[in-house]
Amino acid sequence: MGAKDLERLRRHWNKQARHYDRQMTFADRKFFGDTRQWICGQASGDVLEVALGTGLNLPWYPGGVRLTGVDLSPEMLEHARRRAADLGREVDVRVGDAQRLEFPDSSFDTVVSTYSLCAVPDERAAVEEMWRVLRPGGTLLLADHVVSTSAPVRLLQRLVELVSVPVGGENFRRRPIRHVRALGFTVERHERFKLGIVERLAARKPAA
Amino acid sequence: MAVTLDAQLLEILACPAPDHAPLRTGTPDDPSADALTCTSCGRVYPVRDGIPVLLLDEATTPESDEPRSDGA
Repeated sequence: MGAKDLERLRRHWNKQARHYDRQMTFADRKFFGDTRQWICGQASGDVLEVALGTGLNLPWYPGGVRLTGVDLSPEMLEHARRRAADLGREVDVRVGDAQRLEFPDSSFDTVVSTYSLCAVPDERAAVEEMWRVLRPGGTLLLADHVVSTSAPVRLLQRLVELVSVPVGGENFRRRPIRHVRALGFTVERHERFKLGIVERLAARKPAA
Repeated sequence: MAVTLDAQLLEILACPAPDHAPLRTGTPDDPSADALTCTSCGRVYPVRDGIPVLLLDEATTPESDEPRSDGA
């Protein structure tokens, strides 16, 4: 992953910022259901959201959490900041790379990431970074579209990737839960629906 | 506008380079500049519109000749 690729991705997401909410609200209604509520409702303490985007999760966090958000795209973060202000929420935002987070080890009680690992070039590196910045006993909350359990849908996903990967680096056949388990997280809650396309999980980093 | 980050926030802000050393506000030459400087490797990260840009590719390294993005 060179600097040029990262810059290209950033430009892609800067361009998406304006239309992202409309597309995503549609996807939320059609596919993801109550996933934002499900994820954010389990967050507590010092929370890091990786790939905060336009902040579509912001309304769903409990009142007491202290929120920090990272995104590759400053334009996305501009939307998130406005949304936070409208909601009367405090959120610290900064431009960063999910594959190289800018926090010391063991900084957060909860790490959240929704619909982002599909678009991070090296999603395993991103999950490793989430592990690193989580405190022992901390919670990882992930949701994404993943490879379907249905063969015809898998074929379709493969075809879509022929376009979506070169255009926006978006993958449709990943399973982040494999990296989560391989790193040593304990998966405590796990749901998969819509022909296995939507997967959400809560996992704990073992206490020291 | 100088970087105004509270102490608690600075505590959890670190350099994205592997040593993840703490950051200090400003640049070595100008402590009130819109930038954050790593206390270990000396990389200087710009702060644009109040948002710290903590990407290695956007950082100015002490030995590089690139123009500083902090306007100093």
